Amino acid sequence: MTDTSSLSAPPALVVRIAVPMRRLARFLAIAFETWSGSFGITVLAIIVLVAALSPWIAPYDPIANHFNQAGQLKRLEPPSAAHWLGTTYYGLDVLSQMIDGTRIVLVVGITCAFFIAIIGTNVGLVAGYYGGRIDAALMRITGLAFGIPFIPFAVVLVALLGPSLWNMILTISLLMWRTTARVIRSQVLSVRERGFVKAAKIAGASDLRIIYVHIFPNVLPMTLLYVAFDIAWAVLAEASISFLGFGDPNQVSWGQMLYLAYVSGSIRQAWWWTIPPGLGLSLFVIAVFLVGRQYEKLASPRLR
Amino acid sequence: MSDDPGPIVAFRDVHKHFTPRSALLVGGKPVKAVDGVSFAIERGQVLGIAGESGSGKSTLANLLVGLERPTAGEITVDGLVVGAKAERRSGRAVQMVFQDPFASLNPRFTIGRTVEEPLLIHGVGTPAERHEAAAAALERAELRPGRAYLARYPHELSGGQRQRVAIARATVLNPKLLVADEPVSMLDVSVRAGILRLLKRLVVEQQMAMVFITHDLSIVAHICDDLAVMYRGAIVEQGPVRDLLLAPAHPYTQALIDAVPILSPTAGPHALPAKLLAAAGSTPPERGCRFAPRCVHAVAQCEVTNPAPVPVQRGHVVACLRAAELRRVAP
Amino acid sequence: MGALLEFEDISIVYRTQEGEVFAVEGVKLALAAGQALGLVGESGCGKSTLALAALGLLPRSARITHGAIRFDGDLISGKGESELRPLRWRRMAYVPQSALASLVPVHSIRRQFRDTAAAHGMRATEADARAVELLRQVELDRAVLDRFPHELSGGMRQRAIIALALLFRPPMLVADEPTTGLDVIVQRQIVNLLSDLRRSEGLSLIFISHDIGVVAELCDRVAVLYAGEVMEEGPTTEVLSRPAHPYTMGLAQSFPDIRAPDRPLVSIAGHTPRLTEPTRACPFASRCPFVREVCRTTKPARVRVAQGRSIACHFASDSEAMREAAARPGLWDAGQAA
Repeated sequence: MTDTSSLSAPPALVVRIAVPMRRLARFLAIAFETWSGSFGITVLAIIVLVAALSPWIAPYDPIANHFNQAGQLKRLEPPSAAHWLGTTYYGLDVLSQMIDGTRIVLVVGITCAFFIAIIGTNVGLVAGYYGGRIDAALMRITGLAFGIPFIPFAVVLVALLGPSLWNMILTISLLMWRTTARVIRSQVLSVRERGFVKAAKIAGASDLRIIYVHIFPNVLPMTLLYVAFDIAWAVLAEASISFLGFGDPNQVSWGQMLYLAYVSGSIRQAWWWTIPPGLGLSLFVIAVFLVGRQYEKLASPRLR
Repeated sequence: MSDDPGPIVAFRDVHKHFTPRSALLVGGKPVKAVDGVSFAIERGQVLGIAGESGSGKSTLANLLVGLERPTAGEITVDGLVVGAKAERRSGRAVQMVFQDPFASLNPRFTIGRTVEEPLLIHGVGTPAERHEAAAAALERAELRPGRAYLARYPHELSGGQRQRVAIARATVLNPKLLVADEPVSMLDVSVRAGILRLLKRLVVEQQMAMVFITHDLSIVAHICDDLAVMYRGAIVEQGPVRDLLLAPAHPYTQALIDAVPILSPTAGPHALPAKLLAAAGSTPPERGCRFAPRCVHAVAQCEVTNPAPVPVQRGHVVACLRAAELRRVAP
Repeated sequence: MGALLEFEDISIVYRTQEGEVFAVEGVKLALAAGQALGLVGESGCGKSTLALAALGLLPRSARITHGAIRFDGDLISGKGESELRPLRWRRMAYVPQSALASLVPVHSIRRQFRDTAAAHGMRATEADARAVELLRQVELDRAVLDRFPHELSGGMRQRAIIALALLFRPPMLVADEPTTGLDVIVQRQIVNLLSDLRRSEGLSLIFISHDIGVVAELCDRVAVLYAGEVMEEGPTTEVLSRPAHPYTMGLAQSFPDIRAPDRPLVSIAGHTPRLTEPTRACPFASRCPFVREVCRTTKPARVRVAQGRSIACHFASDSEAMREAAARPGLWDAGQAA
């Protein structure tokens, strides 16, 4: 497409980077519009940064046991200069564990949200577009997913497959796509009635093309919004599974920290061990919701 | 493209019946949305379909573009049966322009992308050729310069401009038939004439046929060559547009024309016959003329025989037993 | 003056995500008791905004930045909900465009009457009696009382809404495009009904429509609005048959007349302005075939052209000549895309 505007247009490469950057900046600016949004995005930014830099900023190896001068395990030591958040029952540094735990938060959150988005969106698209028997069948499956209680299901799956991180991600993804599916389906129901969909049909577009080229871009904002919320739900789900002891024993996670605190009987006294992960999880979920709320405006249909 | 000199569009005794699911259970009757409609359109001609809600004109539109299949009868465009494989492969001989200019363009597509979409679907040309074709189609729709519109988005354009984009999209594949479903009713009045003129010009230039569906009888004279008035699934009167407007023969057509507000009234608004209003909304009768329950001129015979279309003048046919005597004489 | 409703140099601005929208600019209009005033214009001209302002129903995003609205001499613009409530329905009633949007879908018609009555201090028994009487007046069967909105046709719903509006016998009715979207026969019915009601109840009416045909039949006076300003105002027959403002001329010519199918239709090149900035120019300047330099720099004042008629144009004295020129269709169509 030839640009017939000014003769002194900036070089194409600069424009190619500048335009998306500007869009990103405007996109981020929405989060900062309110105090709640700013708080939310700041918390998320901190968590992302910590996760990215965790090998370098953690004071100690998160799974290294610490011994005092007398050769005894530094059990349940309250916060001190050497250990800012104290130590666990097993002599591990709480702060390092918290820092390391951010990685699970992001890995589980983003991976699960990704799978949930793919499954949920596609189910919603297909069910909403075709209607009839296909819709009925898919909604029955979705209903089933709603009906199955999450924790017992997770317990059973972990018992069958073993408690690894990937199995947890699988478990979470297998059930939590249900909300996205329903939401996307109802969006599709209204989008498919719009003139441009009819126009594409008349022009000879195949069903697949209509669903993915025409309808999907119009439900994408809603998908992304729910992806955001799904990240929070997935992280909570992982924490719950880990808290019950079904988590991956080889991965440090905030849920696991709470589990170990409980199991070692120290959950009442060792506040430095239980408050950080609890607070961390709560802040993360709140932050995601606050930021997500800011973007809801984008996802909702604009009034003419 | 066939060189058959006959009409390019043929709608032969088409029926479309819908059976609501509830009726299936109770053994109820199907709804006859289109009940035995026939017409033919020549190249470069515009046929107007006028009707109110419930007349079946929307179903007719869907049948013409292949979104619905007729229960009986045949629809052919340029010799190909609409909806059949041969017609689909030939690149879609029928296209449509919709009523709502705001909803008929994908808000996430640029104008260029929207107009190119039919080309993309049928794999026509290289990307550069497609841009050219899209720009040319936009220019034909009086959006100049065409290239400047390619990168813009629908929300930047006015209703009239959007409708022109929709027209460009519909004509980029050079269809043989254009179905325009109330294309100007949602536009401001001061831009309607421009769109109507554009449609007429394209029809003549590209030697297409057009079906112009509307509920507004006052604009038909400005774009249509022939007019067919539909009532409850059937055509009750059909003929050259001026003939119908100035000398209508069917009581329903007359009622429609009389109901239109007068721009320079000398007396107060004139009343409508109570019978016309009273029976509105009820299901059409099993036997006899479908308009009889509302017709002030109905006689006993009207409730027995369903009138077949009879000519009252050259090219002007009316489905009414008393057409000849009820026909108004042109002033 | 004795005007029932008066817009005194009123300006209204909406606050939207994209900035401010100057929906109405300096409108001066008056409705005398017993009169029917039509507000005519195209999309974005401000006619619905004026109607809502008169009833005190403007959304929170709108504010009156200048001027006032008076009803029966009392100032109503700027009045709060509690002060407006006694006026609404009792003294001024509203007939909206889409009856479906204003009737509660899960309540029967009888219930709607009772609820409206209760909200404005009428007892249920009295409401029922009035409902029966009103339905008869709008030619609806008593059985409608037990129906739900979706069970009625568009025309029946609209008549039900009109009946509801007349519950307290208000002296003034504001009707916002009540016939738009209805079939032509049903539209005729509603127009006849409103005309009859005007005569029998002595109703004053503000009738908003883009359809000048309907306005021609129903209204004594008409105000033609464009981009939030009054372009022309006067007796309906005068304004529509011998327009004095170029916009009215163009508008009248773009309206088809079913009884004169051979009269060519015109369209006005260009499109309505975006209203995101207040202008110092004539709002119609960009589309006016008679535009001159002064039109682009100075806003014209409302000028009297005849008894009871005024237009907002710098060249009001040339209206006769402009009208003759405007009758030529070639003047309007420059082949530009609208």
